Amino acid sequence: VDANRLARLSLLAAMGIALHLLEASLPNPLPLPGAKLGLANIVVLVAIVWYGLRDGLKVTVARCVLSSFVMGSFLGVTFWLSLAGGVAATVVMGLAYRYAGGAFSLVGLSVLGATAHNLGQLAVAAVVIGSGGVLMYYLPMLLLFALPAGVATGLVARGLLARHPAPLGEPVA
Amino acid sequence: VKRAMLDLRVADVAVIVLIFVLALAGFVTAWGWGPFAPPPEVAKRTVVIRADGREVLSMPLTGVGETQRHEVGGPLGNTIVESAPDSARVVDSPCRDKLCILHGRISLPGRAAVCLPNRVAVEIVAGAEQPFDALSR
Repeated sequence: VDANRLARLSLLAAMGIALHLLEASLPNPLPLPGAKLGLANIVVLVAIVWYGLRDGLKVTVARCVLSSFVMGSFLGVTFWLSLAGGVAATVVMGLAYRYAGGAFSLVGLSVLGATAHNLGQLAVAAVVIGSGGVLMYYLPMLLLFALPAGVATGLVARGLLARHPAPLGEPVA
Repeated sequence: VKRAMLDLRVADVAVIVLIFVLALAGFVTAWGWGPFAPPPEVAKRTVVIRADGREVLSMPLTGVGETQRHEVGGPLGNTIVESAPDSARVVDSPCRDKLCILHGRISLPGRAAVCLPNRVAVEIVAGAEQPFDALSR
């Protein structure tokens, strides 16, 4: 294992946890499960651009598991919701970056990620509730909310990656 | 990161427009906006309460009668659902964020108030397939 990379991934995961906890402590903007800014997606997008999908997934899983330890929600409903959303967002952003990275800017990738995040959460919610009808009711609101949330987090990731296009301490490729 | 990743691209706008259109389509179909507007008759709706993935109560909205309270058990405790003659709402729940209560009163088919932490859902469905449920209780 490359110790430098491990250290940097841990740093990204730590930042993801901080953002995750910050967001969990803020009141929800809408009375709607899942309508969140998704600040932790910023860190994941940076991890994907720096290191690729595989390492992005490591950051996401570490973030979800460790945040749930802090919040006491490990293996609870909230944990599965955030893990499903986080993994879905990471996979979609990672694949889009790998195979269509030339077509999308970071804002587009982030919007795709925010949408995937909400779809992943809704899938778990449908299983928990045992009804797809409820899912259909929440879907349009969450899709609409994913747009400004995805654009906002994409712009932050853009600001970060414009200053640090390569991992900190490594030469720009 | 390539320089091009920083500037908004055509594909970005296409994705944003596509998701916006999908959301609108969802509002039209699932929410009954426009041509899919639900019929206004009160009698053709049913309140369904689900707990832990299973239906625990189904009663038609008759438009008459009295308001009832239903205690629905979940992993965190009891969620209290209030069914009125023409609507339903969650009035109390042991969850942390209380989104289900904030959701307020629901009355139109397709609407739902969900408490994910306590695995309880209240939804209004079109139709009144089991009119005897309310009588036999």
